[in-house]
Amino acid sequence: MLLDPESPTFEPAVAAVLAVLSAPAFADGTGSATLTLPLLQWCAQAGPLIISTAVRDGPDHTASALCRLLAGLGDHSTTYVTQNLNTPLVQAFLRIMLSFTALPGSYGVDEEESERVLGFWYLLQEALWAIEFPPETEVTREKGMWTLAKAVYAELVAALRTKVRWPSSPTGWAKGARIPSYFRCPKGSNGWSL
Amino acid sequence: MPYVFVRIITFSFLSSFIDRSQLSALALRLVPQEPSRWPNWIISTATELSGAGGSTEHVLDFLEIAVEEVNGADLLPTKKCGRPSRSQETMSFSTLTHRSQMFQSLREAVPIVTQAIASSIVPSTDPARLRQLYSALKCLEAWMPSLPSKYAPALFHSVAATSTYL
Repeated sequence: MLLDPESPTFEPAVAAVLAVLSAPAFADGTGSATLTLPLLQWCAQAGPLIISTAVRDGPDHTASALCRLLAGLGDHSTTYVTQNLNTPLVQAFLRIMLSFTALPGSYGVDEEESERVLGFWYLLQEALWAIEFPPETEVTREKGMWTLAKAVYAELVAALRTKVRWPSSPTGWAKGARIPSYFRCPKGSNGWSL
Repeated sequence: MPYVFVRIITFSFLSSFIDRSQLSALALRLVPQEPSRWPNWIISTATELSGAGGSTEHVLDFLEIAVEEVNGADLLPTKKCGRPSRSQETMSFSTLTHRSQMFQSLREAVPIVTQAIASSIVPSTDPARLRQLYSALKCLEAWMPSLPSKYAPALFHSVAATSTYL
């Protein structure tokens, strides 16, 4: 089994899938039935176990590969995610993304995954602003979307707050590494404060 | 390009007399001429490689390197490659021709490349088959940016079909 977290083929398979996600043939989020849905399904099934291990023991190679895959999927399918915030698959995806953002420990010391997914939250915010629904359902769908988006960004801000807190025994590395994620925080709260 | 020469090159490739990227470098010199001195160089080399007893893994490695070299090369005309050009205008024109000739050879190879990749993406515990699988995944990664939309979904399916939960 190729994209099986237990298999030695997992990391090469993730690299191959990432190449597919960023291919010109699937530019601008095209191929949601071919790519996005199956991968979201895969994440919902395989993700929770990997992330709970990563939260408990720190991220290993498998968690790191999953994180790359999620970030790639997020970059490719931002529009799909925005349009389908109310579906269980997208919510499962967002939950795993939040878990990666909030990984315990200090960025650059204990883990290097939390920064990889930060770009997605920015893209999601942009997509939320840009989205257009069909006129007849616009009002209700937009209302629903913003309620969900607010909930997501509230959790994101909470996650970022814990991440930007000064470590108890700061090392030079941690101090430097903290700054970028701290400065990204306001971008998240922009979306939230709406 | 005389047939004998192709044979010598593939033999050298198989017995590691020449480096794999040197083979592509040679192609970058020979293909972009008018008329091309080595048309269909990707297909002919790949066919020759497997005919001469090269494993599928070798062929896939060659295909991966070929596309990386073509995409990575700044196809500027040099003294040995194409006519020497004096004015800026002729230079940009011949660069364009070289580029399109090399990309043409990529396009022509797409069907056999996708077939070679898809048939090699088979989960296995046998070490030789595993090496072939890794070469196929690397090859897929390298070719993805050059694949027309018509061929891309099939390759993703070949990965997805052999994965748990997908």
